[in-house]
Amino acid sequence: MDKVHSHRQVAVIKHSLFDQGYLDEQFIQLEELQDDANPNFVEEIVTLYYRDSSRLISNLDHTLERNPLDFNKLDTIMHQFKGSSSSIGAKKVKAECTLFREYCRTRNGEGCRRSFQQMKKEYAILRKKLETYFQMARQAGPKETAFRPK
Amino acid sequence: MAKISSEKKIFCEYPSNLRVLAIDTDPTVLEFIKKVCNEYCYEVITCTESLHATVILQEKRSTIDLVLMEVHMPKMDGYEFLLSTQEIDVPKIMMSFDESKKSVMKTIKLGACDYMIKPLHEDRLRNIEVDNAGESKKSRVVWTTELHGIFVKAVNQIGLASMILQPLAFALFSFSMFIQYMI
Repeated sequence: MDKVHSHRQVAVIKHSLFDQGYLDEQFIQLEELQDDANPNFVEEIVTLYYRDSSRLISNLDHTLERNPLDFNKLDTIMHQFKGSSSSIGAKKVKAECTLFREYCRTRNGEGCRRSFQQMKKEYAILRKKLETYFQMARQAGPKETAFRPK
Repeated sequence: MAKISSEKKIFCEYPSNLRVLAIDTDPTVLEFIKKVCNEYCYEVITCTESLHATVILQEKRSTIDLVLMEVHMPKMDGYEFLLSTQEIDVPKIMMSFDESKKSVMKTIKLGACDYMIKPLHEDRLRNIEVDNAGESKKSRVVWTTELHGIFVKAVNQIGLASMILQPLAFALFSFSMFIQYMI
């Protein structure tokens, strides 16, 4: 009974992550690859994403300090960051990346800085929510099938 | 999940030993590819640097069956990689978040046999590889300049739109043409 309740709680968290637009379909793709042989596959991939993101965010921070701004370099780094964010289904983060790249395209330095701050916020929120989600999922134990939220 | 487990069992009983060289700076992409390949008992070599990848491909050309590579790589991008490895007859499938026609056509003209838009989906990855595995059981498909010429013609005929939307269909079409040329 407890196990059912835990799984339901995990499901609720997951549904809200999708409903509120933090995650998209790609996250489900990852979950479908998870199995008994690799029960923490999704968490492992997300951990890799955090590591890679930290590097890219730090890179962006340094590049944004330069004067004048190197928009091509900023765009290149953000392209990578957008790519890896989309690989784990980080929907809101990805949207901010798109906005940032648009500001790069129009050579809008102020827009870039603003968008970067917003992106970091979204990234931090997502990270926190996913940490909670994985913690609960681990406590609940393995479930039989991955399912899609409606 | 149960479905995947039984498929996994079947594939491991009849290993095709398809060997894939995956090249990308993004560790999440490499991990994703490794996972899908493991389910079908394919071996994966991962590489995060293009220059290093060219060395691997040169040294191991006879033992690598497929290259999967991100177009936008630092120091040596996918286009340069394709150019520098043109004489190596191993199928190269490019992948990228970049969906521009320009990028796709450029990679095809330089020798790529397919282009997958990221984020990657397991189905598309699996289907392309299964098809490859099927072919390699009979004999190894050798990608030659002549074949590639036919391929580029086919792209122009079928149209770019359908190629982007249906990479599997396109890959199958291409392979069906190659059957006549199998060495």
